[in-house]
Amino acid sequence: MPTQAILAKWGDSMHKFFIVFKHEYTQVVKKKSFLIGLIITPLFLGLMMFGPAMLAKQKSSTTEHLAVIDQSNENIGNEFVESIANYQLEDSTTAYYNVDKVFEIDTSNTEQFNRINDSLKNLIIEKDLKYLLVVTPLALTTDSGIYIVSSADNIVTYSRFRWQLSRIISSKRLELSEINIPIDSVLNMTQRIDLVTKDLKGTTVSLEKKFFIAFIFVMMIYMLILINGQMVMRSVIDEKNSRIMEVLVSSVTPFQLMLGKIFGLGAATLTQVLIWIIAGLTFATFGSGMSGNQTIQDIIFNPYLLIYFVIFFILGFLLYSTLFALLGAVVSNEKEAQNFLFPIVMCLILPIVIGMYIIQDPNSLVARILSFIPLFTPTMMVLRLNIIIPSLMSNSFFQPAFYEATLAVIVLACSVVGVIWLTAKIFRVGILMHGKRVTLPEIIKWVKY
Amino acid sequence: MLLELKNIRKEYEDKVAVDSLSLEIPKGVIYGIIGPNGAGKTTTIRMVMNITIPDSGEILFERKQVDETFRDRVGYLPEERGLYKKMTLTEVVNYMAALKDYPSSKVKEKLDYWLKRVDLLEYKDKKVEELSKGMQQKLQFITTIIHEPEIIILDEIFSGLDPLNIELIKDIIMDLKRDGKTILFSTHVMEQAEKLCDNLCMISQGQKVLDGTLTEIKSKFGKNSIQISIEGDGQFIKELPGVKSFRETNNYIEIKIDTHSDTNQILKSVVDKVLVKRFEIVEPSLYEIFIETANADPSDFSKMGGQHA
Repeated sequence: MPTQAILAKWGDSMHKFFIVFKHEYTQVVKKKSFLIGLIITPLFLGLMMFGPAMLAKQKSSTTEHLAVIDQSNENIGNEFVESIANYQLEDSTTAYYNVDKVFEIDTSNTEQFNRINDSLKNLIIEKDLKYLLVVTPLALTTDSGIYIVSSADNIVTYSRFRWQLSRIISSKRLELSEINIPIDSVLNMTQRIDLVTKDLKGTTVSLEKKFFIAFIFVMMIYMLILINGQMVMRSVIDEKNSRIMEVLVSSVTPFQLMLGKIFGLGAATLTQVLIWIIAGLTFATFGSGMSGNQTIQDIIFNPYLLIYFVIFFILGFLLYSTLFALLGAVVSNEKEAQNFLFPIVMCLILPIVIGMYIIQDPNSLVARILSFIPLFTPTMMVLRLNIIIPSLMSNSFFQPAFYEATLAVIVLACSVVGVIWLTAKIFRVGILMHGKRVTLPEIIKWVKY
Repeated sequence: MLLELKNIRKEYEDKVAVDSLSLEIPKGVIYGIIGPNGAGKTTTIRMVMNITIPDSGEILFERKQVDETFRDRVGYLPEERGLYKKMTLTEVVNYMAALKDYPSSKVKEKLDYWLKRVDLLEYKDKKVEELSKGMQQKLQFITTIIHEPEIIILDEIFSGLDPLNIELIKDIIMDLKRDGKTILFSTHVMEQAEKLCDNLCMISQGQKVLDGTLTEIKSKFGKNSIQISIEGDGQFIKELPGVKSFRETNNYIEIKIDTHSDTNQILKSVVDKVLVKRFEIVEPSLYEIFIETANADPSDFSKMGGQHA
């Protein structure tokens, strides 16, 4: 065939592909659900990520009432009241805790203790009092010598009380042991230290943050692939079940149809992502107080990481979309497809499941092997690169990690082509099959056919 | 010849669907493929459409192997109908035409005309799912012909349509023929084939049992059929000498006689017994021809009979 004829044929082929592409794309984009998803998804994600933190941060707007019974004779109660006087409500003028009274009761006076204790407990029941701190005579000898009676739990308050009380008790215990060094320095000596991690450039990085970012990246890949994949699958099943497939394949080749569908629907999903990114960047640029943490920015806006993320995302997206198209072609309804969804989800989520292990040693043999199994490559490599790259001294491409990533890109790209080729063969026959369950030997026959 | 099928064979695991079938479809005719259910009509059409690939044999369009360009020049209505339920009528027609590489400006010009022709104009911007089944069929028929295909292939076009709509579609098909289009259609209802076809081919159990123009076929079978309308019980006619076959419908009795039998003798015998309202020597109906042709295999009768009544 002369070159011109081949080109003309190819052009015609592309033309039909674009018609299907355009159709699939517009069908999704103009739907109401697209607009709703556009708004709901980030809201939902944001709520999931920041919601709990924001809720926990929210200070109570009312003062919490508190009473102390001190039987220790060591002035612990009053010292405690002094130490918590600094905590304030959101308006930063009113005290967070209002101490109603400190009852100093003599150790031996059980009758008085019981009476006061009972009346205070009644106040708690009637909600006039929130906490009752009881310092028993054994406070300095055993840890169970101090306790709080409360009707409602508040983690923030507990950690504050624990922190203040342990300071007071420690210093009192030190005093009792009569050691000849200043108490403050002992406290200082025994204090917990915060171990920070620095990368080779000297920037402080936190492993948790790195994992957090990596997790977000992987979750993004996972969610977008799953949402888009199911859309592709449903679209194929719908066309099969509505019997429109036969008309379609009398106008376009199954291959044009399949690619048009995968790319058209994929483009619709990516349009959504693009709008989010633009909106996000606009927000970050113009919104105040959104500048965020330096580490997070370092990782997210690391160009090397971004390039690889985009490549792995696109390739993974194509790989799984094609597999979902394949799945849609061989099953006869969505219910039947559900059975096959679980393994696909597992493949995608694997890096998260074994995430802690990978993070401990992102270059372990297992991590490396998994990175080169195409189904795991996109998520696995993105997770590993997120851990490895920020720690590298110079972010140049001439690094072992990059060689490996590039090799993984090549392997993945080849398997995408392979899977598309294979799927095309099965797709061609599968889309015209109705009703009966397809067996694996049959599918193998279609491939050879 | 516009379309030629040469020695087509398609075998499925458990049976031969189509066996050494050769057809020649001239340009500008209405060509009917008739035969009972499961005879291989749909398989044949699917092979023409390149949806099913024949095991052997070849299919030629304008004397060349069917290729990509054929897709744009054909309009195909499959036996299993289906359209996008969530799209509007306009959108569906536009997409289907676009897939055939037909300019959207031309669709715009013709859409209203065609929708009006099948009484769907008022639903133009409604969703397909709002239409009744029969309406959806008419819409699908429009999507099949809107791009002015040179050859139109209709698989069991009339199934599921009421008589009014059947007439509507028939009229359009006749118009298309006048415009020089070639129409290939399949049916298991002989009356429809008889009214529409110029040429036809009968298939039974995957094999061609008869083909040619309608007149050719009829003349080949000769005028050996008699339709008789009587008052009273006509069962005795079965026993008259020279009567080969007997079929009774509500309105008349159709018999077939030996070629050398005397029709006058038969008429006399009938007049003797009952009151005769009509006695007519007719061309055999396609139905009769089919039964006679496929006589070798009586199982076909039952299949045909059920559909015929």
